[in-house]
Amino acid sequence: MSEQEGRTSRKRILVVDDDPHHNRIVKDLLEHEGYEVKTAMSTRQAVAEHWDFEPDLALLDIMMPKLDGYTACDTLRKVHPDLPIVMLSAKDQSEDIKEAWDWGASYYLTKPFDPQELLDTVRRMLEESADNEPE
Amino acid sequence: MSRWKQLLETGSIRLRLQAAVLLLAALPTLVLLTSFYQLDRMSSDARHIALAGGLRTSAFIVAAQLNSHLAHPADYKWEIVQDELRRMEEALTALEQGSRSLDVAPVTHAEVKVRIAEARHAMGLYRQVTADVHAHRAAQELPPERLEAISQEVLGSAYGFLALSNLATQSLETHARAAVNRLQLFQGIAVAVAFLVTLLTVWAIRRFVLGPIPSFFAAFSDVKEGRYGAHVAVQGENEFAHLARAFNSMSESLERAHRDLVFKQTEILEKNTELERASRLKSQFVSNMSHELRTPLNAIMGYTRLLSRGVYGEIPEKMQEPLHGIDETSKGLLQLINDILDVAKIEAGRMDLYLETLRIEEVVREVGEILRPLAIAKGLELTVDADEPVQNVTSDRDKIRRILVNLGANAVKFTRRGSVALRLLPEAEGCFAVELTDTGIGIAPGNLDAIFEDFRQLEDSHTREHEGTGLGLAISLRLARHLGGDIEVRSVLGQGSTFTLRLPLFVRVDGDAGSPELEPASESSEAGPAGPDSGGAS
Repeated sequence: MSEQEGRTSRKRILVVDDDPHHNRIVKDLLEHEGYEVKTAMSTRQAVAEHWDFEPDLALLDIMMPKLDGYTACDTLRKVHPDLPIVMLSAKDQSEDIKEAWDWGASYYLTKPFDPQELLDTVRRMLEESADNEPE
Repeated sequence: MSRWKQLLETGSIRLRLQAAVLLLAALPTLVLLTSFYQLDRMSSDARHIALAGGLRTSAFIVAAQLNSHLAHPADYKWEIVQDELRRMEEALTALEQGSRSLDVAPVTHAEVKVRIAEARHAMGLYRQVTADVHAHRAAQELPPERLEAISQEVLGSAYGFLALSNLATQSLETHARAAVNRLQLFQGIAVAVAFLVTLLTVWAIRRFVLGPIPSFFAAFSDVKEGRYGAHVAVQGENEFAHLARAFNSMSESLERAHRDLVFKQTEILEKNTELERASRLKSQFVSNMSHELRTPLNAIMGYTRLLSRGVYGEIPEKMQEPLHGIDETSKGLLQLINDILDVAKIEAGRMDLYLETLRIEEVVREVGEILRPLAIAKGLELTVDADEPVQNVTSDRDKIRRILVNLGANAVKFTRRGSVALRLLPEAEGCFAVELTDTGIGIAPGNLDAIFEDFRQLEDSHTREHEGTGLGLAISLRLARHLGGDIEVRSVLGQGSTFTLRLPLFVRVDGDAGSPELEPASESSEAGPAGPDSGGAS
């Protein structure tokens, strides 16, 4: 879990949220835990700047200007069908969660988030994803 | 003519009816009166006939006396002749001039009058002859041939008189028969006319008295079928015209009232729509506000927790406590935001129910497990009694749990020492009930209602010890009512309080209560914290 493990072994996480503070906090937390993190403030920016990033997991906000997190989720799903996608949103109503499922989200966390819960969730999702890989 | 027509069409109905009845009554009266007159005439005729008959009889008697005078002079009685002559005189006078004592009117028929005039003339002769006979008889000197001549003359005039009185009688009889025939004809015609007039009157009553009634029927039927404002045509100044005016005025009032009603309905509908829109906007606003408030709170809590975790480097020991304070305060703020959103959702009728069949004792035990750490932290005893057998309940598990946790947390919060008891009560009247008893500060009787109001904490409880959003009980009560139940509270100030949650065993869903459906349990449980305490990580 340290930087010495090399670039290839570090899991890559893409974070899309229109709040720069949120992006900074998640990036700091995850990088502190040894993940490689790219952040974007919109779906468009994510596609434009991190097309080659090949994330192992995505953390998406829902309420963003222009394209919302559901659309981002849908877009990512088309490119990476097996990518674990965790929605991380201030919306906490059951209908929001249901809609996220419908758009193909793998998991749902609400803001304000608990750092430990986020780390546990990310770790578990990545493990499940690794188990599902053919090799 | 046109005046009659006008009267018929516009005149008083009472007058018209009276006229018709009078007409109907007048007819038989007229017929009867005429018949009486005719009958009177006929009885007069009969008396004339009787008089004429008497005339004949008297003439015959006089003739017989004269005759017997010739044959048997001893039998002749002058008194008898005198008597009969006087009777004949009377009868003739009665026929000619009428007689009050005999109740006879003078004969009026020209033909009979001629006969009577002839009889009067013959009577003169007759009297002359009898006088002659009497005179000669007194003289006692009548030669036989002269006597013979007188006899012949007397007989001749007697027979002539007889013939005359016969003719008069016949003439009277003919006339009387004609009168009877005329009366019969008259009566026949009168009956026919009366019948026709009756028919005509009935038709006239229908046409001119009851004529307007069908138009009233039509108008009433219009109003009955909701075509308010239907009018009946007003003609003239009679009772129907008054009725028609009264009806028209009523009909107009009805139409006005109906129009007002429809207008008011539209107004209410409009207001309702506005209110709904306002309510929707309000709940939308609150929902947006909630999101907008959470986003910076998320950053505050995120930085604070990362700092606490040492992500940004080692934290001096004395900074841990303030960081923890920021986190705790933020959690309180988050709870407040969640509560406000819940209140807004319930108020807007958007709190959905997720019904499932559940064992209430399990829920009570779960709540006990949630409350236990809180109670232990304050050194309170917590007892959970969920042994009461209660049948399966169809309700919203999460909402029941939230209400009970709310009530339980409240009980713990306001109890300094002693115990908190959670107890499932026996079911009654289709409801189950859970009771929460504490040995806390209690509530004054005057404040029992106030504790369920929004943002209401009792004044003397505003201390650090009792911090909270002040919405917990208000939300619990709303949720309980949303589930078709209620919360009751009993309390003794300084000794403790008992809150009782009573809910129906089966939640009945009406149209406004949202659209409850069975929660996709497997998904939601995996979806992580979705409940009210979602953000308030522990």
